[in-house]
Amino acid sequence: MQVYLPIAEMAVSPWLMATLGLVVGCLSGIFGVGGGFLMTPLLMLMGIPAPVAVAAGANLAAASSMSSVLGQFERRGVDLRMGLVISIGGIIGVGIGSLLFSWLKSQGAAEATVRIAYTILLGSLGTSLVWESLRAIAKTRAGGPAPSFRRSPNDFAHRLPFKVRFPRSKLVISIIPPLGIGIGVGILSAIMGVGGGFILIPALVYIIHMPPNLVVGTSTLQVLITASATTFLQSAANGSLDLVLSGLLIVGGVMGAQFGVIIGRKLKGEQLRALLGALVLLVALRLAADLVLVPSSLFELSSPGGGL
Amino acid sequence: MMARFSLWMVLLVGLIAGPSVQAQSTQVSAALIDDAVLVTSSFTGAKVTIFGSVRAGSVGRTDIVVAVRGPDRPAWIAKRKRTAGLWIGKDQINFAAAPTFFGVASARPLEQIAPSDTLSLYGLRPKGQLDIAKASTHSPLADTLIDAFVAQRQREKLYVDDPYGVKLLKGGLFRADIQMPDRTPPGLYTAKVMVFRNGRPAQSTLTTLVVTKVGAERALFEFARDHAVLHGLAGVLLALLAGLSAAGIVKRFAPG
Repeated sequence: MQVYLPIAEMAVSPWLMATLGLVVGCLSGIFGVGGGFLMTPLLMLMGIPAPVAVAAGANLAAASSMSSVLGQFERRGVDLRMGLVISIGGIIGVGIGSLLFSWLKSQGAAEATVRIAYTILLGSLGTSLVWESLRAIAKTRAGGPAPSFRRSPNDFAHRLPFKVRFPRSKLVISIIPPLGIGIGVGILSAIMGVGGGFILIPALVYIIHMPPNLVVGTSTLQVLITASATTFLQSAANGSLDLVLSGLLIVGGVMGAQFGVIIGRKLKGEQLRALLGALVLLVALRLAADLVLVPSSLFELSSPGGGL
Repeated sequence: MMARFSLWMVLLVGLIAGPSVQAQSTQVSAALIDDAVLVTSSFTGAKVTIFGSVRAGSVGRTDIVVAVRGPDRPAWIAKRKRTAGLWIGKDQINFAAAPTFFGVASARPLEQIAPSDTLSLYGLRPKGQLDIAKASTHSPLADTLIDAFVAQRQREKLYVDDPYGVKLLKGGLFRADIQMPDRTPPGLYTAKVMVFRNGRPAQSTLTTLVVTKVGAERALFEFARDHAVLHGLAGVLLALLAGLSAAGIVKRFAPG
Protein backbone atom coordinates (compact mmCIF):
# COMPACT_ATOMS: atom_id res chain seq x y z
CA MET A 1 0.00 0.00 0.00
CA GLN A 2 1.21 3.45 -0.87
CA VAL A 3 0.10 6.92 0.08
CA TYR A 4 0.49 9.90 -2.22
CA LEU A 5 2.13 12.99 -0.72
CA PRO A 6 0.38 16.11 -2.08
CA ILE A 7 3.33 18.51 -1.79
CA ALA A 8 6.26 16.17 -2.45
CA GLU A 9 4.16 14.79 -5.36
CA MET A 10 5.27 11.21 -4.91
CA ALA A 11 3.98 8.02 -3.32
CA VAL A 12 5.50 6.51 -0.19
CA SER A 13 4.67 3.55 2.02
CA PRO A 14 2.74 4.85 5.06
CA TRP A 15 3.90 1.94 7.23
CA LEU A 16 7.53 2.66 6.43
CA MET A 17 7.08 6.35 7.31
CA ALA A 18 5.24 5.63 10.57
CA THR A 19 7.91 3.06 11.53
CA LEU A 20 10.62 5.58 10.74
CA GLY A 21 8.80 8.06 12.97
CA LEU A 22 8.52 5.42 15.70
CA VAL A 23 12.24 4.60 15.65
CA VAL A 24 13.41 8.20 15.51
CA GLY A 25 10.81 9.17 18.13
CA CYS A 26 12.05 6.40 20.40
CA LEU A 27 15.63 7.63 20.05
CA SER A 28 14.54 11.20 20.66
CA GLY A 29 12.72 10.11 23.82
CA ILE A 30 15.79 8.26 25.08
CA PHE A 31 18.15 11.15 24.52
CA GLY A 32 15.83 14.07 25.15
CA VAL A 33 16.24 15.62 21.70
CA GLY A 34 13.64 16.39 19.03
CA GLY A 35 14.88 13.89 16.46
CA GLY A 36 14.77 16.24 13.47
CA PHE A 37 18.52 15.90 13.02
CA LEU A 38 18.08 12.18 12.32
CA MET A 39 14.77 12.38 10.44
CA THR A 40 15.71 15.03 7.87
CA PRO A 41 18.80 13.23 6.51
CA LEU A 42 16.98 9.87 6.56
CA LEU A 43 14.13 11.32 4.50
CA MET A 44 16.63 12.82 2.07
CA LEU A 45 18.38 9.47 1.71
CA MET A 46 14.97 8.02 0.80
CA GLY A 47 14.59 10.41 -2.11
CA ILE A 48 12.32 13.06 -0.60
CA PRO A 49 13.30 16.56 -1.81
CA ALA A 50 15.42 18.47 0.72
CA PRO A 51 12.93 21.33 1.36
CA VAL A 52 10.13 18.86 2.12
CA ALA A 53 12.43 16.80 4.34
CA VAL A 54 13.49 19.91 6.28
CA ALA A 55 9.89 20.97 6.96
CA ALA A 56 8.88 17.44 7.99
CA GLY A 57 11.88 17.06 10.31
CA ALA A 58 11.06 20.34 12.05
CA ASN A 59 7.41 19.39 12.39
CA LEU A 60 8.35 16.08 14.01
CA ALA A 61 10.76 17.84 16.38
CA ALA A 62 7.96 20.20 17.43
CA ALA A 63 5.63 17.28 18.15
CA SER A 64 8.05 15.18 20.16
CA SER A 65 9.27 18.14 22.22
CA MET A 66 5.64 19.07 22.94
CA SER A 67 4.98 15.57 24.26
CA SER A 68 7.88 15.79 26.71
CA VAL A 69 7.91 19.48 27.73
CA LEU A 70 4.83 19.16 29.96
CA GLY A 71 6.48 16.47 32.04
CA GLN A 72 9.55 18.69 32.34
CA PHE A 73 7.41 21.57 33.62
CA GLU A 74 5.83 19.29 36.23
CA ARG A 75 9.27 18.19 37.40
CA ARG A 76 10.27 21.87 37.61
CA GLY A 77 13.06 21.18 35.12
CA VAL A 78 12.57 24.28 32.98
CA ASP A 79 14.21 27.69 33.38
CA LEU A 80 11.40 29.62 31.72
CA ARG A 81 13.24 32.93 31.52
CA MET A 82 16.35 31.36 29.99
CA GLY A 83 14.20 29.32 27.61
CA LEU A 84 12.36 32.40 26.42
CA VAL A 85 15.53 34.46 25.92
CA ILE A 86 17.06 31.67 23.80
CA SER A 87 13.78 31.23 21.94
CA ILE A 88 13.64 34.93 21.01
CA GLY A 89 17.09 34.47 19.54
CA GLY A 90 15.83 31.25 17.95
CA ILE A 91 12.92 32.95 16.18
CA ILE A 92 15.24 35.70 14.87
CA GLY A 93 17.59 32.96 13.66
CA VAL A 94 14.79 31.02 11.97
CA GLY A 95 13.82 34.19 10.11
CA ILE A 96 17.40 34.73 8.90
CA GLY A 97 17.79 31.04 8.06
CA SER A 98 14.52 30.93 6.14
CA LEU A 99 15.61 33.81 3.91
CA LEU A 100 18.97 32.12 3.44
CA PHE A 101 17.25 28.87 2.52
CA SER A 102 14.99 30.54 -0.06
CA TRP A 103 18.07 32.15 -1.58
CA LEU A 104 19.96 28.83 -1.66
CA LYS A 105 16.95 27.21 -3.28
CA SER A 106 16.86 29.88 -5.99
CA GLN A 107 20.56 29.21 -6.62
CA GLY A 108 19.90 25.47 -6.88
CA ALA A 109 22.32 24.96 -3.98
CA ALA A 110 19.87 23.96 -1.25
CA GLU A 111 20.43 20.22 -1.59
CA ALA A 112 24.23 20.36 -1.52
CA THR A 113 24.36 22.92 1.32
CA VAL A 114 22.04 20.89 3.52
CA ARG A 115 24.07 17.74 2.90
CA ILE A 116 27.42 19.36 3.64
CA ALA A 117 26.11 21.15 6.73
CA TYR A 118 24.74 17.88 8.06
CA THR A 119 27.95 15.97 7.44
CA ILE A 120 30.06 18.54 9.26
CA LEU A 121 27.67 19.03 12.13
CA LEU A 122 26.84 15.38 12.77
CA GLY A 123 30.44 14.30 12.25
CA SER A 124 31.88 16.68 14.80
CA LEU A 125 29.00 16.19 17.23
CA GLY A 126 29.20 12.39 17.05
CA THR A 127 32.96 12.39 17.54
CA SER A 128 32.85 14.68 20.55
CA LEU A 129 29.97 12.74 22.15
CA VAL A 130 31.71 9.40 21.76
CA TRP A 131 35.06 10.79 22.93
CA GLU A 132 33.63 12.57 25.95
CA SER A 133 31.45 9.70 27.11
CA LEU A 134 34.20 7.09 26.65
CA ARG A 135 36.45 9.21 28.86
CA ALA A 136 33.71 9.52 31.47
CA ILE A 137 33.10 5.75 31.41
CA ALA A 138 36.83 5.08 31.76
CA LYS A 139 37.01 7.45 34.71
CA THR A 140 34.09 5.89 36.59
CA ARG A 141 35.60 2.44 35.92
CA ALA A 142 38.84 3.67 37.45
CA GLY A 143 36.90 4.55 40.60
CA GLY A 144 37.10 8.32 40.55
CA PRO A 145 34.06 10.59 40.64
CA ALA A 146 32.44 11.44 37.34
CA PRO A 147 34.06 14.54 35.94
CA SER A 148 32.16 17.77 36.42
CA PHE A 149 31.78 20.14 33.53
CA ARG A 150 30.86 23.23 35.49
CA ARG A 151 33.88 25.41 35.17
CA SER A 152 34.61 28.44 37.28
CA PRO A 153 31.95 31.05 36.61
CA ASN A 154 34.62 33.53 35.58
CA ASP A 155 34.48 33.36 31.80
CA PHE A 156 33.15 35.56 29.05
CA ALA A 157 29.44 34.93 29.68
CA HIS A 158 29.95 36.81 32.93
CA ARG A 159 32.14 39.57 31.58
CA LEU A 160 29.92 40.77 28.71
CA PRO A 161 27.50 43.68 29.31
CA PHE A 162 23.66 43.60 29.65
CA LYS A 163 23.62 41.29 32.63
CA VAL A 164 20.33 39.56 33.42
CA ARG A 165 19.36 37.52 36.46
CA PHE A 166 18.14 33.96 35.87
CA PRO A 167 16.83 33.01 39.33
CA ARG A 168 15.90 29.41 38.51
CA SER A 169 19.39 28.65 37.22
CA LYS A 170 20.98 30.82 39.93
CA LEU A 171 22.94 32.68 37.27
CA VAL A 172 23.61 36.36 36.65
CA ILE A 173 25.07 36.52 33.15
CA SER A 174 25.06 38.72 30.08
CA ILE A 175 22.06 38.29 27.80
CA ILE A 176 24.32 38.12 24.73
CA PRO A 177 25.47 34.44 24.91
CA PRO A 178 21.98 32.93 25.28
CA LEU A 179 20.60 35.22 22.58
CA GLY A 180 23.52 34.41 20.26
CA ILE A 181 23.15 30.66 20.85
CA GLY A 182 19.45 30.99 20.09
CA ILE A 183 20.12 32.80 16.79
CA GLY A 184 22.69 30.19 15.75
CA VAL A 185 20.37 27.31 16.57
CA GLY A 186 17.50 29.06 14.77
CA ILE A 187 19.51 29.42 11.56
CA LEU A 188 20.48 25.74 11.68
CA SER A 189 16.88 24.82 12.37
CA ALA A 190 15.57 26.69 9.34
CA ILE A 191 18.19 25.27 6.99
CA MET A 192 18.40 21.74 8.33
CA GLY A 193 15.00 21.02 9.87
CA VAL A 194 16.44 20.33 13.30
CA GLY A 195 15.00 21.44 16.59
CA GLY A 196 18.53 22.10 17.79
CA GLY A 197 18.39 20.17 21.07
CA PHE A 198 21.54 18.26 20.27
CA ILE A 199 23.49 21.53 19.90
CA LEU A 200 21.71 23.38 22.64
CA ILE A 201 22.30 20.81 25.38
CA PRO A 202 26.12 20.99 25.13
CA ALA A 203 25.91 24.78 24.70
CA LEU A 204 23.87 25.17 27.88
CA VAL A 205 26.29 22.94 29.78
CA TYR A 206 29.60 24.26 28.51
CA ILE A 207 28.91 27.92 27.64
CA ILE A 208 26.10 29.02 29.95
CA HIS A 209 26.98 26.63 32.83
CA MET A 210 23.39 25.86 33.66
CA PRO A 211 22.61 23.41 36.47
CA PRO A 212 22.39 19.92 34.87
CA ASN A 213 18.83 19.25 36.09
CA LEU A 214 17.55 22.26 34.11
CA VAL A 215 19.45 21.64 30.87
CA VAL A 216 17.18 19.09 29.16
CA GLY A 217 13.90 20.76 30.13
CA THR A 218 15.02 24.22 29.03
CA SER A 219 16.36 22.94 25.74
CA THR A 220 13.13 21.02 25.12
CA LEU A 221 11.12 24.23 25.56
CA GLN A 222 13.40 26.03 23.16
CA VAL A 223 13.21 23.18 20.61
CA LEU A 224 9.42 23.35 20.77
CA ILE A 225 9.40 27.06 19.97
CA THR A 226 12.15 27.03 17.33
CA ALA A 227 10.88 23.92 15.52
CA SER A 228 7.34 25.33 15.48
CA ALA A 229 8.67 28.56 13.96
CA THR A 230 10.59 26.57 11.33
CA THR A 231 7.54 24.47 10.45
CA PHE A 232 5.50 27.61 10.04
CA LEU A 233 8.06 29.52 7.98
CA GLN A 234 8.91 26.56 5.73
CA SER A 235 5.23 26.42 4.83
CA ALA A 236 4.68 30.17 4.52
CA ALA A 237 7.92 31.07 2.70
CA ASN A 238 8.86 27.93 0.76
CA GLY A 239 5.57 26.05 0.50
CA SER A 240 7.38 22.85 1.37
CA LEU A 241 5.39 21.53 4.32
CA ASP A 242 3.66 18.25 3.45
CA LEU A 243 0.98 17.62 6.06
CA VAL A 244 0.43 14.01 4.99
CA LEU A 245 4.12 13.20 5.44
CA SER A 246 4.26 15.12 8.74
CA GLY A 247 1.16 13.36 9.99
CA LEU A 248 2.60 9.89 9.30
CA LEU A 249 5.93 10.73 10.93
CA ILE A 250 4.31 12.40 13.94
CA VAL A 251 1.93 9.52 14.69
CA GLY A 252 4.90 7.16 14.88
CA GLY A 253 7.13 9.79 16.46
CA VAL A 254 5.08 10.76 19.50
CA MET A 255 4.39 7.13 20.37
CA GLY A 256 8.04 6.24 19.98
CA ALA A 257 9.06 9.21 22.13
CA GLN A 258 7.04 7.88 25.05
CA PHE A 259 8.67 4.44 24.82
CA GLY A 260 12.01 6.17 24.53
CA VAL A 261 11.52 8.10 27.78
CA ILE A 262 10.84 4.83 29.63
CA ILE A 263 13.91 3.14 28.12
CA GLY A 264 16.01 6.24 28.78
CA ARG A 265 15.32 6.13 32.53
CA LYS A 266 16.93 2.69 32.70
CA LEU A 267 20.19 3.65 31.02
CA LYS A 268 23.16 5.54 32.42
CA GLY A 269 24.06 9.02 31.21
CA GLU A 270 27.49 8.15 29.80
CA GLN A 271 26.22 5.02 28.08
CA LEU A 272 23.39 7.06 26.59
CA ARG A 273 25.76 9.66 25.24
CA ALA A 274 28.10 7.02 23.80
CA LEU A 275 25.15 5.36 22.05
CA LEU A 276 23.81 8.63 20.68
CA GLY A 277 27.30 9.57 19.53
CA ALA A 278 27.73 6.25 17.70
CA LEU A 279 24.36 6.69 16.01
CA VAL A 280 25.06 10.25 14.96
CA LEU A 281 28.45 9.18 13.58
CA LEU A 282 26.79 6.47 11.48
CA VAL A 283 24.41 8.93 9.84
CA ALA A 284 27.30 11.34 9.29
CA LEU A 285 29.39 8.62 7.65
CA ARG A 286 26.54 7.66 5.35
CA LEU A 287 26.14 11.29 4.29
CA ALA A 288 29.89 11.76 3.95
CA ALA A 289 30.08 8.67 1.74
CA ASP A 290 27.66 10.34 -0.68
CA LEU A 291 29.87 13.41 -0.82
CA VAL A 292 33.31 11.80 -0.90
CA LEU A 293 33.01 8.51 -2.78
CA VAL A 294 32.70 8.51 -6.56
CA PRO A 295 28.93 8.88 -7.00
CA SER A 296 26.87 6.33 -8.91
CA SER A 297 25.47 9.14 -11.01
CA LEU A 298 27.68 12.01 -12.07
CA PHE A 299 24.65 14.28 -12.38
CA GLU A 300 22.12 15.76 -10.04
CA LEU A 301 18.88 17.30 -11.15
CA SER A 302 15.74 18.96 -9.93
CA SER A 303 12.83 16.88 -8.72
CA PRO A 304 10.19 16.00 -11.34
CA GLY A 305 7.74 18.59 -10.09
CA GLY A 306 10.46 21.17 -10.67
CA GLY A 307 9.19 23.40 -7.89
CA LEU A 308 11.08 21.90 -4.97
CA MET B 1 -18.98 9.89 -19.75
CA MET B 2 -18.11 12.19 -22.62
CA ALA B 3 -14.85 10.36 -23.11
CA ARG B 4 -16.57 7.05 -23.39
CA PHE B 5 -19.20 8.38 -25.74
CA SER B 6 -16.64 9.94 -28.05
CA LEU B 7 -14.65 6.73 -27.96
CA TRP B 8 -17.60 4.75 -29.31
CA MET B 9 -18.23 7.42 -31.90
CA VAL B 10 -14.65 7.12 -33.09
CA LEU B 11 -14.88 3.38 -33.43
CA LEU B 12 -18.26 3.59 -35.13
CA VAL B 13 -17.18 6.24 -37.60
CA GLY B 14 -14.03 4.29 -38.24
CA LEU B 15 -15.95 1.16 -39.10
CA ILE B 16 -18.74 2.71 -41.15
CA ALA B 17 -16.85 5.39 -43.00
CA GLY B 18 -13.78 3.27 -43.50
CA PRO B 19 -14.45 1.44 -46.74
CA SER B 20 -15.82 4.49 -48.56
CA VAL B 21 -12.66 6.56 -47.99
CA GLN B 22 -10.36 6.69 -50.96
CA ALA B 23 -7.30 4.54 -50.84
CA GLN B 24 -4.74 7.36 -51.13
CA SER B 25 -5.78 9.58 -48.23
CA THR B 26 -4.92 8.59 -44.70
CA GLN B 27 -7.48 9.12 -41.98
CA VAL B 28 -7.02 8.75 -38.26
CA SER B 29 -9.26 9.33 -35.30
CA ALA B 30 -8.58 8.51 -31.70
CA ALA B 31 -10.01 8.96 -28.20
CA LEU B 32 -8.94 8.34 -24.66
CA ILE B 33 -10.62 5.73 -22.49
CA ASP B 34 -10.50 8.23 -19.65
CA ASP B 35 -9.78 11.89 -20.26
CA ALA B 36 -9.09 12.53 -16.57
CA VAL B 37 -6.52 10.85 -14.37
CA LEU B 38 -7.45 11.31 -10.73
CA VAL B 39 -4.66 11.65 -8.18
CA THR B 40 -6.10 10.30 -4.96
CA SER B 41 -4.29 9.44 -1.76
CA SER B 42 -3.64 5.96 -3.14
CA PHE B 43 -2.26 7.20 -6.47
CA THR B 44 0.75 5.18 -7.54
CA GLY B 45 0.72 6.01 -11.21
CA ALA B 46 -1.76 5.50 -14.02
CA LYS B 47 -2.12 3.91 -17.40
CA VAL B 48 -3.38 6.11 -20.20
CA THR B 49 -5.16 4.14 -22.90
CA ILE B 50 -5.99 5.51 -26.32
CA PHE B 51 -8.21 3.73 -28.84
CA GLY B 52 -8.42 4.75 -32.42
CA SER B 53 -8.90 3.76 -35.97
CA VAL B 54 -6.78 4.44 -39.00
CA ARG B 55 -7.59 4.18 -42.67
CA ALA B 56 -4.74 4.12 -45.09
CA GLY B 57 -3.92 2.76 -48.49
CA SER B 58 -2.95 -0.85 -48.81
CA VAL B 59 0.38 -0.12 -50.51
CA GLY B 60 3.35 0.14 -48.16
CA ARG B 61 3.53 0.11 -44.40
CA THR B 62 1.47 2.10 -41.90
CA ASP B 63 2.86 2.93 -38.47
CA ILE B 64 1.11 4.54 -35.52
CA VAL B 65 3.01 6.53 -32.93
CA VAL B 66 1.32 7.91 -29.84
CA ALA B 67 2.97 10.59 -27.68
CA VAL B 68 1.66 11.86 -24.34
CA ARG B 69 3.27 15.03 -23.06
CA GLY B 70 2.91 16.39 -19.53
CA PRO B 71 2.84 20.04 -18.49
CA ASP B 72 6.08 22.02 -18.68
CA ARG B 73 7.91 23.05 -15.54
CA PRO B 74 11.30 24.63 -14.95
CA ALA B 75 14.13 22.22 -14.19
CA TRP B 76 17.88 22.13 -13.79
CA ILE B 77 20.72 19.65 -13.98
CA ALA B 78 24.28 19.91 -12.71
CA LYS B 79 27.37 17.78 -13.23
CA ARG B 80 28.98 16.58 -10.04
CA LYS B 81 32.62 17.54 -9.82
CA ARG B 82 35.21 16.80 -7.21
CA THR B 83 35.73 20.09 -5.40
CA ALA B 84 38.07 20.10 -2.42
CA GLY B 85 37.53 16.35 -2.10
CA LEU B 86 33.74 16.59 -2.24
CA TRP B 87 31.46 15.67 -5.11
CA ILE B 88 29.38 18.77 -5.57
CA GLY B 89 27.03 19.73 -8.38
CA LYS B 90 28.69 22.31 -10.63
CA ASP B 91 28.27 23.48 -14.22
CA GLN B 92 24.55 23.74 -13.85
CA ILE B 93 22.24 24.44 -16.74
CA ASN B 94 18.64 25.53 -16.31
CA PHE B 95 15.65 24.69 -18.42
CA ALA B 96 13.03 27.39 -18.68
CA ALA B 97 10.58 24.60 -19.42
CA ALA B 98 10.85 20.86 -19.64
CA PRO B 99 7.98 18.41 -20.02
CA THR B 100 7.36 16.70 -16.70
CA PHE B 101 6.18 13.62 -18.53
CA PHE B 102 6.92 12.48 -22.05
CA GLY B 103 5.77 9.06 -23.14
CA VAL B 104 5.95 7.67 -26.67
CA ALA B 105 4.43 4.38 -27.73
CA SER B 106 4.69 2.60 -31.06
CA ALA B 107 4.33 -0.89 -32.46
CA ARG B 108 8.00 -1.20 -33.36
CA PRO B 109 11.14 0.76 -32.44
CA LEU B 110 10.90 4.40 -33.52
CA GLU B 111 14.18 4.39 -35.41
CA GLN B 112 12.76 1.71 -37.71
CA ILE B 113 9.71 3.85 -38.41
CA ALA B 114 11.28 7.11 -39.51
CA PRO B 115 14.66 8.87 -39.67
CA SER B 116 15.67 10.56 -36.45
CA ASP B 117 15.46 14.09 -37.88
CA THR B 118 11.85 13.46 -38.84
CA LEU B 119 11.11 12.17 -35.35
CA SER B 120 12.64 15.27 -33.78
CA LEU B 121 10.85 17.59 -36.18
CA TYR B 122 7.49 16.09 -35.27
CA GLY B 123 8.20 16.25 -31.56
CA LEU B 124 8.52 12.58 -30.81
CA ARG B 125 11.89 12.87 -29.07
CA PRO B 126 12.13 14.28 -25.52
CA LYS B 127 15.41 16.00 -26.30
CA GLY B 128 13.76 18.38 -28.73
CA GLN B 129 11.14 19.35 -26.16
CA LEU B 130 13.55 20.90 -23.65
CA ASP B 131 13.58 24.68 -23.58
CA ILE B 132 16.99 25.75 -22.29
CA ALA B 133 17.11 28.99 -20.33
CA LYS B 134 18.87 31.83 -22.17
CA ALA B 135 21.70 32.08 -19.67
CA SER B 136 22.56 28.38 -20.09
CA THR B 137 22.67 28.15 -23.89
CA HIS B 138 26.39 28.92 -24.10
CA SER B 139 27.47 26.34 -21.54
CA PRO B 140 30.16 24.14 -23.15
CA LEU B 141 28.66 21.14 -21.35
CA ALA B 142 25.10 21.78 -22.52
CA ASP B 143 24.97 18.78 -24.85
CA THR B 144 26.26 16.31 -22.27
CA LEU B 145 23.95 17.70 -19.61
CA ILE B 146 20.87 17.56 -21.83
CA ASP B 147 21.58 13.92 -22.67
CA ALA B 148 22.10 13.11 -18.99
CA PHE B 149 18.86 14.90 -18.10
CA VAL B 150 16.86 12.83 -20.56
CA ALA B 151 18.61 9.63 -19.44
CA GLN B 152 17.85 10.30 -15.77
CA ARG B 153 14.20 11.06 -16.47
CA GLN B 154 14.03 7.86 -18.48
CA ARG B 155 15.34 5.97 -15.45
CA GLU B 156 12.62 7.60 -13.35
CA LYS B 157 10.05 6.46 -15.96
CA LEU B 158 9.05 10.08 -16.56
CA TYR B 159 10.30 9.94 -20.14
CA VAL B 160 9.16 6.66 -21.62
CA ASP B 161 9.78 5.14 -25.00
CA ASP B 162 7.76 1.97 -25.41
CA PRO B 163 8.31 0.28 -28.80
CA TYR B 164 5.56 -2.26 -28.07
CA GLY B 165 2.98 0.07 -26.50
CA VAL B 166 0.76 0.20 -29.60
CA LYS B 167 -1.31 -2.88 -30.42
CA LEU B 168 -2.76 -3.11 -33.90
CA LEU B 169 -6.17 -4.72 -33.86
CA LYS B 170 -8.33 -5.91 -36.71
CA GLY B 171 -9.92 -3.57 -39.24
CA GLY B 172 -7.53 -0.65 -38.77
CA LEU B 173 -8.23 -0.30 -35.08
CA PHE B 174 -5.43 0.25 -32.63
CA ARG B 175 -4.90 0.57 -28.93
CA ALA B 176 -2.02 2.38 -27.19
CA ASP B 177 -1.10 2.10 -23.52
CA ILE B 178 1.25 4.52 -21.82
CA GLN B 179 2.23 4.04 -18.20
CA MET B 180 2.73 7.12 -15.99
CA PRO B 181 4.62 6.83 -12.67
CA ASP B 182 3.54 8.17 -9.25
CA ARG B 183 5.78 11.21 -9.66
CA THR B 184 3.76 12.41 -12.64
CA PRO B 185 2.67 15.91 -11.69
CA PRO B 186 -0.87 17.17 -12.17
CA GLY B 187 -1.75 19.38 -15.09
CA LEU B 188 -2.97 19.38 -18.66
CA TYR B 189 -1.55 16.61 -20.82
CA THR B 190 -1.59 16.42 -24.60
CA ALA B 191 -1.87 13.14 -26.45
CA LYS B 192 -0.83 13.12 -30.09
CA VAL B 193 -1.48 10.27 -32.48
CA MET B 194 0.65 10.27 -35.62
CA VAL B 195 0.34 8.00 -38.62
CA PHE B 196 3.44 7.31 -40.68
CA ARG B 197 3.16 5.96 -44.19
CA ASN B 198 6.42 4.38 -45.38
CA GLY B 199 8.43 6.51 -42.98
CA ARG B 200 6.66 9.78 -43.76
CA PRO B 201 4.20 11.50 -41.49
CA ALA B 202 0.81 11.27 -43.14
CA GLN B 203 -1.78 12.33 -40.60
CA SER B 204 -2.09 13.25 -36.97
CA THR B 205 -4.68 14.08 -34.36
CA LEU B 206 -4.50 15.72 -30.95
CA THR B 207 -6.48 15.20 -27.81
CA THR B 208 -6.00 16.27 -24.20
CA LEU B 209 -6.36 14.77 -20.77
CA VAL B 210 -6.04 16.25 -17.31
CA VAL B 211 -4.18 14.77 -14.40
CA THR B 212 -5.79 16.29 -11.35
CA LYS B 213 -5.60 15.89 -7.62
CA VAL B 214 -8.97 15.09 -6.11
CA GLY B 215 -10.42 14.74 -2.64
CA ALA B 216 -8.09 15.19 0.30
CA GLU B 217 -5.03 15.46 -1.93
CA ARG B 218 -6.52 18.38 -3.82
CA ALA B 219 -7.84 20.07 -0.68
CA LEU B 220 -4.43 19.86 1.02
CA PHE B 221 -2.53 20.99 -2.05
CA GLU B 222 -4.79 24.00 -2.66
CA PHE B 223 -4.79 24.84 1.04
CA ALA B 224 -0.98 24.85 1.04
CA ARG B 225 -0.79 26.96 -2.11
CA ASP B 226 -3.55 29.50 -1.41
CA HIS B 227 -3.27 29.78 2.37
CA ALA B 228 0.39 29.15 3.08
CA VAL B 229 0.21 30.94 6.44
CA LEU B 230 -2.79 28.99 7.70
CA HIS B 231 -1.25 25.79 6.34
CA GLY B 232 1.90 26.46 8.38
CA LEU B 233 -0.20 27.11 11.47
CA ALA B 234 -2.05 23.85 10.84
CA GLY B 235 1.29 22.03 10.80
CA VAL B 236 2.28 23.58 14.13
CA LEU B 237 -1.12 22.82 15.61
CA LEU B 238 -0.90 19.21 14.41
CA ALA B 239 2.44 18.83 16.16
CA LEU B 240 1.23 20.42 19.41
CA LEU B 241 -1.97 18.36 19.57
CA ALA B 242 -0.18 15.11 18.75
CA GLY B 243 2.40 15.82 21.43
CA LEU B 244 -0.26 16.75 23.98
CA SER B 245 -2.39 13.68 23.35
CA ALA B 246 0.61 11.33 23.43
CA ALA B 247 1.68 12.78 26.79
CA GLY B 248 -1.93 12.51 28.02
CA ILE B 249 -2.33 8.88 26.98
CA VAL B 250 0.90 7.83 28.62
CA LYS B 251 0.07 9.68 31.83
CA ARG B 252 -3.24 7.87 31.98
CA PHE B 253 -1.95 4.35 31.39
CA ALA B 254 1.58 4.51 32.74
CA PRO B 255 1.71 7.12 35.50
CA GLY B 256 5.08 8.00 36.92
